[in-house]
Amino acid sequence: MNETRFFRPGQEVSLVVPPGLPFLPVVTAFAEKSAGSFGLAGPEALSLTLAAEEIFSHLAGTGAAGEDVRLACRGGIYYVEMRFSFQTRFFDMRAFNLTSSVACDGEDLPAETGLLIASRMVDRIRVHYGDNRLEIALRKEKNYPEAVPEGLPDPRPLAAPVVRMPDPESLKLLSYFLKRHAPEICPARFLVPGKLADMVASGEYGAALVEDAGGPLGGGIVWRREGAGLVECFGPYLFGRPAGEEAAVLLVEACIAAVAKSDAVGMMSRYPSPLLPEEYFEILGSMAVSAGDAGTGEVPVHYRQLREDAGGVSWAHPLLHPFLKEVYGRLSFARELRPVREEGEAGHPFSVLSAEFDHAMRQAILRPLWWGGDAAANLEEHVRTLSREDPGTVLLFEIDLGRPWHARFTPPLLDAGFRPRVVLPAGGRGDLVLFQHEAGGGPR
Amino acid sequence: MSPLSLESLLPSYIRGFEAYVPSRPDAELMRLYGCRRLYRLNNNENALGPPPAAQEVIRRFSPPRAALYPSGDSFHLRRKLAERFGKDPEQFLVGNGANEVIAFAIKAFCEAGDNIVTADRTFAVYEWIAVFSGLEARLVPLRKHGFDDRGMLERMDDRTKILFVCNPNTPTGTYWDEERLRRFLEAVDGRAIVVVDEAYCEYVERGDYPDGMALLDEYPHLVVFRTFSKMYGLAGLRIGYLAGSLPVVEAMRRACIVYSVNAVAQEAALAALDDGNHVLASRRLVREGRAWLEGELAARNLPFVSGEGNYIMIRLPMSDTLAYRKLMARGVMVRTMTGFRFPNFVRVTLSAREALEAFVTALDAVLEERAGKRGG
Repeated sequence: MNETRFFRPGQEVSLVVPPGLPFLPVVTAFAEKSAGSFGLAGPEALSLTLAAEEIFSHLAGTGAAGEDVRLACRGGIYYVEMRFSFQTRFFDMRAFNLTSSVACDGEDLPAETGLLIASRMVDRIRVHYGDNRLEIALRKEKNYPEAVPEGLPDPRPLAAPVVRMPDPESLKLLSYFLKRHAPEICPARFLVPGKLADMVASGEYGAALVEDAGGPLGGGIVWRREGAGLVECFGPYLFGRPAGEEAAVLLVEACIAAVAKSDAVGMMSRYPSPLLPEEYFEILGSMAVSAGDAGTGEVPVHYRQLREDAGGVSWAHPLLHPFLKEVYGRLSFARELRPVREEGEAGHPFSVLSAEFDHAMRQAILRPLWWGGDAAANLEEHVRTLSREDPGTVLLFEIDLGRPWHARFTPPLLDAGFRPRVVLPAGGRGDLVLFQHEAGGGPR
Repeated sequence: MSPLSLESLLPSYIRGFEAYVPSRPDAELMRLYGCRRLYRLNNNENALGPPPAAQEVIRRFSPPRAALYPSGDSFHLRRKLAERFGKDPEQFLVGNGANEVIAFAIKAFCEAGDNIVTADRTFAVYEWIAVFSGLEARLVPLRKHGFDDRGMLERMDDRTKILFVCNPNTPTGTYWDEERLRRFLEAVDGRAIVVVDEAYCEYVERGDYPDGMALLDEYPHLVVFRTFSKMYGLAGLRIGYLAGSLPVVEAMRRACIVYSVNAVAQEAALAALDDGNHVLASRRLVREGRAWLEGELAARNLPFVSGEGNYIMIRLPMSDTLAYRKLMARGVMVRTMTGFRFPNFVRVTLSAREALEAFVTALDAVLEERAGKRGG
């Protein structure tokens, strides 16, 4: 079985420009031409270009970039990604809040600015901060035809299932079958055949298929890298009847084997199929999901570690300790809890949050970039803005227990209606805690 | 000063390589997991410790001698090994554990563009050293838990320099008999080096198990690895060795690190070789432990893979990494097998009865807890 090699390097072009409005045409021309060269069609290339224009205008207008801005455009086979990176001046970091409307030169404030507008034009926006450099990445995915061809064979029960790594045509067949037999239990992006084939070709996703030796396709499993140390798997999906437990086990084992020697520390499944073999996983917690007219339901988050847990230290606000003690005790994670609380020390006036949108998953994840005295108000403003943008979106907040200052967000998070749901062991510098906004029981 | 640009300094094969993180020290693990004692069943260490003569050498080592360099090429130990196996001392290289002699072989024979061939589910260090040396590691799936000789030959090409065979294999305990090993050596036929890693050979009591040392004269492309870490209980001192034909070892000497084996390790190994009783006692311990544990596992309907070597692989009805934590909390450390691509298996060292009983007791508690949760 071949191993998954994450982050296969794609082609990239770059540009360095001073952060001034006179260079805006250079930026838009770069964005448009490189997006087209990496295969985005006209409408998608235009969207990415407009988003890039918004971001650069925001940078130039707020004076937030401390020096030249580096733009890099990368072709990821099924998407094109535009990254802005630059050294920041702390005072202006708050300009990178999604909700920012920082005034400059006494001009009137627009109702909405830079990041939020840009986020609507792309499929995914991600902000990362480290070593005094801020990076904003915009991702626009290609558009693919979605028609299902006539005369597809019906899947049959597998007599002697074998697992193999897929070729593009088999992946497209998997996508057709998913659309026909299991559209409600898999992410919508898997239902676009050409896209699924390209997602796997990009190296960001991996997949394994099950079939009778040399015979018809019986099912598959898909996985992808999620964050710093995690892999997320989807499935297993099986189409023939009766659905074989053996085939599901084979698929899960193939998925584990493909990532077992990667740098991933754990694998999770937030969207399990009913055939997920429970004995390969533990349950970390659950997320609230919309159950239509019945209100909201709970979906367990399945997880397995890929290596022996080394134990460690978790920095957490005392308000979070009961939750962590229950989780760590139940799952036997050896963690030393170290309390973090505010004790009157001086702090910065402004907080900064990053917002990562994934429109396909209808999910937004907030992460702390900087702690400041206005955290509660800033958080509430983010919740208000995001809820207005898409009332059905799942709204998450992620803190890293390996970064002590993240713990300070706990009281404002709880006050703003977020609840700790899941601990993702060693998902960042330490364990990650995923808070979900209680009004955000979004769609699956 | 300009910021350090690690990305541009590191070769791509190092950038993409994930460092191995060893377990924390026992005291730290016991503190973290809140257990008062820890049974180490994870590293296939010998519960009897080193042979008495080696223990005596360690006890008597004069502290002032720590200021002196040891023999840079383990002079006396190589002479002893030569005498023991009827070879020339120059046919041996001694290293800081078998891991170091693996590096000697790869560094000596491989360059950019070359590859090594081994199994996908075996001792991982062959693959690691190849990959972080910028080489391709071709991993052939095991067949019925054993090395697949035909599959390995099919993966060979003109850039294949070394084929690694772990005999008996860890973690499965399978082995090639002499006839099969000879067939393989003849099929490779001098096109590449064949390394047979016999780290656990002293535990094997089967009559058809081949003695690699005895085959060296017939097959000049054969290299045999052995260690003092397993049977001889010197894992903490880090000492292992390789043996091969004179020209092959002479070539590997150019890539070997001298002075890497400390004086205590050399002298303890020298003393250990003479103690035949220790080998017999260790075999008995493992034999009895295996029989007892197999019975306990069978009584619980837990599947296991049990072959040669001082270990057994057990399939659990739960994630092995979860079981690891639950067992640690009860003072028992096992080795998870997910990283070996055997998900839900753990490998357990066949140790003293007390430790094995502690393992079974802890395992019962873990499985009962799990059953209770599922039932509830």
